[in-house]
Amino acid sequence: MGVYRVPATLDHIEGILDAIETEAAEHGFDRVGISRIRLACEEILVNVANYAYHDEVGEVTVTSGPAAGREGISVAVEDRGIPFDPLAQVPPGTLDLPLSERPIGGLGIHLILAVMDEVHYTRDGDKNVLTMVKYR
Amino acid sequence: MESKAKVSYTNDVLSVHLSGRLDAANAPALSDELTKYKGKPIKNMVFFAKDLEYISSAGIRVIVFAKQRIGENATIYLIGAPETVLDVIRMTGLANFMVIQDSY
Repeated sequence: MGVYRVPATLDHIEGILDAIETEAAEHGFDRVGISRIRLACEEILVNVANYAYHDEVGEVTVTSGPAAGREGISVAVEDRGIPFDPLAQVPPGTLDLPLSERPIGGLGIHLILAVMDEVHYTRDGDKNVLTMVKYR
Repeated sequence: MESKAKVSYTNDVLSVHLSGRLDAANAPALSDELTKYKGKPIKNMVFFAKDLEYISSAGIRVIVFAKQRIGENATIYLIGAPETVLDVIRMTGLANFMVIQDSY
């Protein structure tokens, strides 16, 4: 179980991702599972670092722990940036385009949805809260 | 983790040796490095991934960028990638657009 509250910058994010990998291993995930969990967390944290606070540096709070009721891990990412629901942004049909026509954006959210079993977004007062759960 | 990518170019083949992670922290540096080869004739773009442990969407974007802007007519190869990397390549649909092999 961990609570990490850091400035939302790429170098701070690295530390959180390493800690979550360690926790995922403790919950019994294999190499691919651990990588998938890191991937989903990286995607949302990089989003927060790049976009949540426009040009200012804000904070991000990450809370990780066991999933409720089943073996697995739950990760909640909270920021006080502009209201943003990442789940509302998914562009349809771009994965079928050949490489030469692929738009550069939109991959991150698709990956989060592909690797995590549950993904929920809520706006809580002035906070964006994204909760992700992966069962073992 | 800093990028340990090594890029080389010989006989119209652009080779990229990857190791460790290719993620948001170091993908931009690789992108900048690959940009140096823009304009050169590239028949094959080969990503050697035997020592690559992890790739995120930032890394995927570098590969897409390289194909779109550096090697528009090149065949993309992914060599020796471990399952953690192949997992992401498949999930993003890129597996259909590159030649995936154990060796080159």
